[in-house]
Amino acid sequence: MTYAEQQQQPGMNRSALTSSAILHLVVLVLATVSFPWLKKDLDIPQPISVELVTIDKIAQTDKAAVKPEAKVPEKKEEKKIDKPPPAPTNKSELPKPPVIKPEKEIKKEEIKKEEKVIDELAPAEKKEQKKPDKKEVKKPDPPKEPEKDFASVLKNLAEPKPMPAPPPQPDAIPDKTAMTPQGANLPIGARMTMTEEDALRRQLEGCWNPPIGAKDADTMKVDVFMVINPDRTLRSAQIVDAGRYSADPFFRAMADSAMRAVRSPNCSPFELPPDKYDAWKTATVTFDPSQMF
Amino acid sequence: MKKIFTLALMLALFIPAVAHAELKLSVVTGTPDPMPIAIHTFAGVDGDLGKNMSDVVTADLQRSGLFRPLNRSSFIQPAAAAAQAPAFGEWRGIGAQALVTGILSKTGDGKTRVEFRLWDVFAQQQLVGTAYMTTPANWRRIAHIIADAIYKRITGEEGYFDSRLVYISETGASNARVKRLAIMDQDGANHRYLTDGRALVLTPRFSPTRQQITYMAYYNNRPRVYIYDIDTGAQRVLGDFPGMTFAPRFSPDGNRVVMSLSKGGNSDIYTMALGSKSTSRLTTDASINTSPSFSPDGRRIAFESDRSGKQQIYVMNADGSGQQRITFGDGRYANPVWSPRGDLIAFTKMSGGQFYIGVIKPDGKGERLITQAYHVEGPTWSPNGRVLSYFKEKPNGRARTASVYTIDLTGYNETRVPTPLDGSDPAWSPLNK
Repeated sequence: MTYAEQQQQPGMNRSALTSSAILHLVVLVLATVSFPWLKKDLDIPQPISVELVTIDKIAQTDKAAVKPEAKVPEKKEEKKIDKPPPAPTNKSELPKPPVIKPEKEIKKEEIKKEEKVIDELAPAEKKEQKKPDKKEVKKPDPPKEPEKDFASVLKNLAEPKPMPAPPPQPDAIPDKTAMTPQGANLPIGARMTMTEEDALRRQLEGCWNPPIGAKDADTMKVDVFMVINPDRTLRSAQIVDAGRYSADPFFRAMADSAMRAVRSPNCSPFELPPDKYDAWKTATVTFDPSQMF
Repeated sequence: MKKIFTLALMLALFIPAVAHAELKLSVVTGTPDPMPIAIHTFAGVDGDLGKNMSDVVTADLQRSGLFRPLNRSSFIQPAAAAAQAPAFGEWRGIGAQALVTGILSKTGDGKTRVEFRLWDVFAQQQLVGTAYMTTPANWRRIAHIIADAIYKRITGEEGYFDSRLVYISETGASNARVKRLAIMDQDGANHRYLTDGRALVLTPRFSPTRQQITYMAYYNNRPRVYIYDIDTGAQRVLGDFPGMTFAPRFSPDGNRVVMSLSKGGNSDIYTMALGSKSTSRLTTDASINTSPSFSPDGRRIAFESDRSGKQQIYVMNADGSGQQRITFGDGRYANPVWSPRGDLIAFTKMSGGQFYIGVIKPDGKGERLITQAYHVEGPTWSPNGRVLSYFKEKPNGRARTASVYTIDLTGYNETRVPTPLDGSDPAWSPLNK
């Protein structure tokens, strides 16, 4: 369109002016927002990740996502103090053995094993569920912090030397979850903070008695899917890998121990922030014993 | 229309996403405490039988170190009621994670029916429920079988309570020690002697498949390897070799024995088929090769050799090929015993004037020393490869005392096995059949 033509169409000219003005305005606004030097007293927005840095003393600060601010020395001290006590050893001498009597040969009796004679006693369960527990459930003991190295669970009398340092295993870093923010699609205020996650993690650690010393324990990661009530009690829990649960007795034992942990009265209600229900109403907890053995 | 669309697009960009997310969390450390378990008195018949049975189950599980049986005085619900329908809330209240109940009843033919159930208190459901028929005299064995069933369901591993230990019973002054072959249940009950003590006996080993023991004895001052049949009491010498045979051990199928034969100051490892008596020599070098032990699949043998200058542990194929040293630590390593689970080899180590019992993987990795003493020796595995038994000697003035112990593979829960006299050189049986 030539200039002369534009002159002949005043209406069009006006609308072009308006759009031009709007466009200019938009560009100006954008520029003000995007180029900080245009705005003199620019407010530097507070970093949202305050929680990431100010982690509670009790938090497990050795996770990958933690910034250098986390105090390493403190952690070490904690580790030393909280060495798990060795399992009780029966050192006391046993009472004097009885006088020896020559005994008869044990007769081998046939032991008949009845085929699944016993049925499940279902009614008992229902009756029980209605009754609230009379006894007050004991509070969990002050959280112990078992060491995460091999020697913490399996005793080794050798001086530090013989155990070669295990090569870093990518799988051994448990906290892929900790590195990606939980609930990234939630508004920031509704997301779980690392401290809050750690509180739940520590609570569950205290309730989890894995069968230690099991063969191939390093392949026994158990995922438990949980639905949680708004009052932070467990609504339902299930083992994600149901196939392996029914096929592998070792896995089943490990999975049962994980289920006992989430159902434990010492872990009820869960230590979760009550006001962030959307962030935890469903949860998948991975119980991973690989570093304990 | 276009405007509305643009507006909608703008709105969609600024409105927060749908407010719901699944929490994901990893728990990598547990609390390796023993599991609190309530084991109720078995109800149903008069007398002490029910209490005795649940006492044996309790003692077995407690000794394993993996369970913490709760004191019965804290139980609220009576035994018979709990066996029918446990009040799970009450059991949870006293801190039990699992509950064991039992009911005994007499049948017409003089037998006893033993019915037991293992309950998951948190899940409020039954985990195991089985009934056995037996004569009342056999109650102890049934109790061990029940303890095994509980152990298996909770840990995933086979139990080991229904098994026996054979060992060398020792008495008398150290210069005139009387050594007898003796056998007992793994908890020390049902003890009896198999030999009379006239000949010196050493290194008993159980057959993995039959009620047989192989051992070394000095009859007429001649050391040779013998086989003892537990059911019949018969003894026979195994092969007649020109030299001295020692350190015998069965193959996993029970059809062969692997042992050392010493000739002209040199000792080497041989296998012998029990049926055909044919032998084959597996080591040939000019050093002391001894203490052979088969892997559970029968394809490899661990043994000790001083070919490097001092005793170390080696592994070879069952035909003698592929000999390979697996221990390289300080001190001397002796007496390798392959676990029935296959994943570890137990050994005795001597270092810095102390003895240790340790375990190592067959590839030489993961050495771990689990107990230590002035003199500790002779490890033997429980049938499930979870517990080790061995003997410990303590200096006692001019004499010494020897006792049989068990310890969990984790290195905790060392427990003395009660024996009437001193005991050494234990050998664990397979599970009773």
